[in-house]
Amino acid sequence: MLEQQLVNALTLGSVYALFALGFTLVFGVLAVINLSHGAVFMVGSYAAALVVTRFEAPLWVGLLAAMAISGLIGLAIDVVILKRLRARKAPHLIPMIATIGVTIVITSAAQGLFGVEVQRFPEEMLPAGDFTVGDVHVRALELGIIAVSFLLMAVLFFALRRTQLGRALRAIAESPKAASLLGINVEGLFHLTSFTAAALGGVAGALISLNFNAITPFMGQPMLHKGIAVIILGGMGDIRGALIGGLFLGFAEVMSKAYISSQMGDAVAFGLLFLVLLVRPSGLFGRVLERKA
Amino acid sequence: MKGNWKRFFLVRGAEVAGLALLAAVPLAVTNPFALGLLTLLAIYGILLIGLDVTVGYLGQVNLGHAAFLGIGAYTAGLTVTTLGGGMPIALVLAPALCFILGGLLALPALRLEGPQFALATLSFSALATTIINEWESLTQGAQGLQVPRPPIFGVALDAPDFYWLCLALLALVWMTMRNLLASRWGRAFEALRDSPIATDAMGVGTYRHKVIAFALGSSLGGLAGGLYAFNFQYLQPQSFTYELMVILLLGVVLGGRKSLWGAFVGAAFIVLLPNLLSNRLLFQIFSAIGLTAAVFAAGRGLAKKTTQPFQALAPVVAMGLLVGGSLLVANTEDWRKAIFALMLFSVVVGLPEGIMGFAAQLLTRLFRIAPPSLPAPASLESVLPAWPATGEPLLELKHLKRHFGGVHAVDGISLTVRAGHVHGLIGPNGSGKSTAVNVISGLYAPSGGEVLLHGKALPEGSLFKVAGHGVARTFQNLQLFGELSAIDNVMVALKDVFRVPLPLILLGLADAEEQRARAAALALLDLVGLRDKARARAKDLTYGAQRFLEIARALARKPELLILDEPAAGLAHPDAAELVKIIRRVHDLGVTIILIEHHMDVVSELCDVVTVLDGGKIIAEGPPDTVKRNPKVIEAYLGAVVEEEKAA
Repeated sequence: MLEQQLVNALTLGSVYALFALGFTLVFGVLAVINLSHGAVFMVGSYAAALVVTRFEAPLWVGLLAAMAISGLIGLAIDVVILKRLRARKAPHLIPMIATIGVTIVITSAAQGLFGVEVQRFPEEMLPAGDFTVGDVHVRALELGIIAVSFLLMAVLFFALRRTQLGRALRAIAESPKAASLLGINVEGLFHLTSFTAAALGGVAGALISLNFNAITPFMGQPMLHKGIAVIILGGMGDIRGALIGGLFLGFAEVMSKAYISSQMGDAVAFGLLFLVLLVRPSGLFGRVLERKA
Repeated sequence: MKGNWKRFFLVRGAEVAGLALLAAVPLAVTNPFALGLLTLLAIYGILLIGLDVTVGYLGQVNLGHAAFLGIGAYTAGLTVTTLGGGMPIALVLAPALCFILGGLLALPALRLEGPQFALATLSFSALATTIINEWESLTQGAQGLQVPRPPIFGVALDAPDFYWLCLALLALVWMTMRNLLASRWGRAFEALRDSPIATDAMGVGTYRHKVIAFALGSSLGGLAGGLYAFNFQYLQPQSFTYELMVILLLGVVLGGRKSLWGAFVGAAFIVLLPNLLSNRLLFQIFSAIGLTAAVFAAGRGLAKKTTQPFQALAPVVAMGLLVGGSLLVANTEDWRKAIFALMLFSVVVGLPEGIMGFAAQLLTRLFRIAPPSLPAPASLESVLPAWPATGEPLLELKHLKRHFGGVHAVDGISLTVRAGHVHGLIGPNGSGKSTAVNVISGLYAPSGGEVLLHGKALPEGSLFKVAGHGVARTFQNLQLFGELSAIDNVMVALKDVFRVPLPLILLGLADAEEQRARAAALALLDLVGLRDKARARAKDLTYGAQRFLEIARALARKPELLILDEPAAGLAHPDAAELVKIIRRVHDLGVTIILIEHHMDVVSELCDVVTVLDGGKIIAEGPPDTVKRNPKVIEAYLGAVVEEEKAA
């Protein structure tokens, strides 16, 4: 039974990590909390489901479509709204309110376009088959989700650590001004970061909706809360922290549902988060910011 | 003084008239729907005033306020249903619980900065709503909780009665919060927003004030929640989530931050607008009015070139969309939320100061309201005590060390500052001067060694605690409370003036004390030549004036030891000359001064003793003239030139 739960936790945790990676990337590079990340996640689910059901495209095309469409929305949010707010040097409350506004608009639009009914992928489109190792059943779907999540995360890690682009992004995270003086196209990389982050959010949405096979306009909000929990746990702007925090939250949620209270699973997960905050306000892996005069 | 009375009557008159008007409505209007909206307006007024304390005054992004409304509502509801208490008890318990929880929420978040804090509050609200939703045995979960409206002292409340109760509580909250926010507490909240470090260094505890501001703001959320429960008599967990939070925040920003009227106007918008939106004709009329206003404002802004094209055009485009939408969409119900968000959003972008920020400027100009006049300055002797210049050791550093990883910024410094001296601390960049005073003043804890004041160890690593021992400082990169006026900057730091306890402040019984504080602050502003700038916002002052204001603010601590961290940095020549005069005046009053400075002329003119640092160690010490000729000092500053001279 425990092994079964471990597989569930790993599936859920890897998608949480994927979602939180985009979230934390935007915070790290743009120094903005983009609260529309949940809405972008929801858009990814609809995009994948539409492409797969309407055009009868294979699943991988659906995932690519989710990335592209969500990414473009993320890009548009950056170009139309965040860029202006940057230029105005708006205090950080303003982009948060603005992106919440975006969330409401996108959610209402989805509700207007698709209605509130639960949308599903056709069962026959989902990868069938499962593996049995000992007592543990693993669905091929779950394996696929875990593989795709980790693959995308590996690509992102590699890009950030080993390429010139990644170095430029990390330089911007330290100081956009200094990076700009060194000839780095800061605005361009802000756009790219917004696109990438939203694409990751979108594909996370597609993967989650494959796992539970239920899509609604409101699925973004609980995910956003979990994403926030993850990046607080992992330390804000910390890429490794998002990965570990995501897996941690996945395990905490699945285990508390299985062994503590099936009803209060989310409450236990958030309560745990609060305990962590009490002991280590900067998260499990984040550094405490030293005050500067 | 005539101006003061005019101001008093206009401001108070508007409040009284507004309240009277609202209270009279049920006598004329019997429509239960309209009365319901007004009741909700009073409740949301209380709620938004509470939110404004944390968002406007404290400057924290608080995303937990909707949860406090929910906690308050369920506390009040359960007090009546489960505990069998009456409405008065429920309306005390709800804010009390939220007061405690709000304080607790501020505690773990104290060390978190801006956005991290915002996310902590958001996850608190997620936790609270999840618990309300999932703890079904107590709250009935998603099924909802029925709450009766019990009679108060045997009198059953009908709709107008309940409305008057809400209105009376709003008036009470308004009055007490107005008194509180105009007092030292309100100033401390705002100081905390603009510079937490300076707030601590001025002996105003950041922790205590942050916790109390949060507890207070949240308790108002709880009070509003209690009224909410008895108003609707039915509670559901999903009423208190994220979307409500957004609408509340938009309400505060839209109405205008840091203003009771702003909170009320914001409440009016968020209560009335959605209802207007559900009526198609009304909606068309209002969006047309909105479009006209937006076009007018944009045209004016562009003509005067006071606004950016985007800022001016965004509301026009948004309102245009609305008008188009109102004509096209047959049923506004479905799109209500999107329209609502778009509408509020465009106003937030177009009017960053909010409606009341804009209206306050307009009204001040229209009625020619002068700011309240200031009292005569107190005598300087009454503000600054005379310390005896005994020449005895006042501050002693013993083998003081501060390391940052492998960098030994301060590496075993021992020196003595004598009472009544101006003690210069000089050295090349990176020699450890600023780190040394940062350790002395408590910003950093030392890695080793001791700091003694009058032979006793000073507290380590706490600006706030060190500030309590008669040590005050200025900052190399200015740490003023930018949004506060010059006089308020000084008043935040004033020591031994404020004695009126919180309950009396809430009742508005601190006027005499405030007036004394203003007189004392003016004396200090006069000392640094800023008396005529007392009402100017600190961030609008010239650079030189900002430096002088920091000195005046530090002097408000009645310091025995004043640390000036590069006060002449970036000053133009006439300002530097003025600075020397100011420091000399302060010195004549008996204040001992540690002066970090690069300008050698300033140092030689003022200092009794100079200590020279290089690489975290002392390389020379003595009177300025001797030190200036010390070959080690010359080498540290001008190494290359010495080499050349030797060669020649």
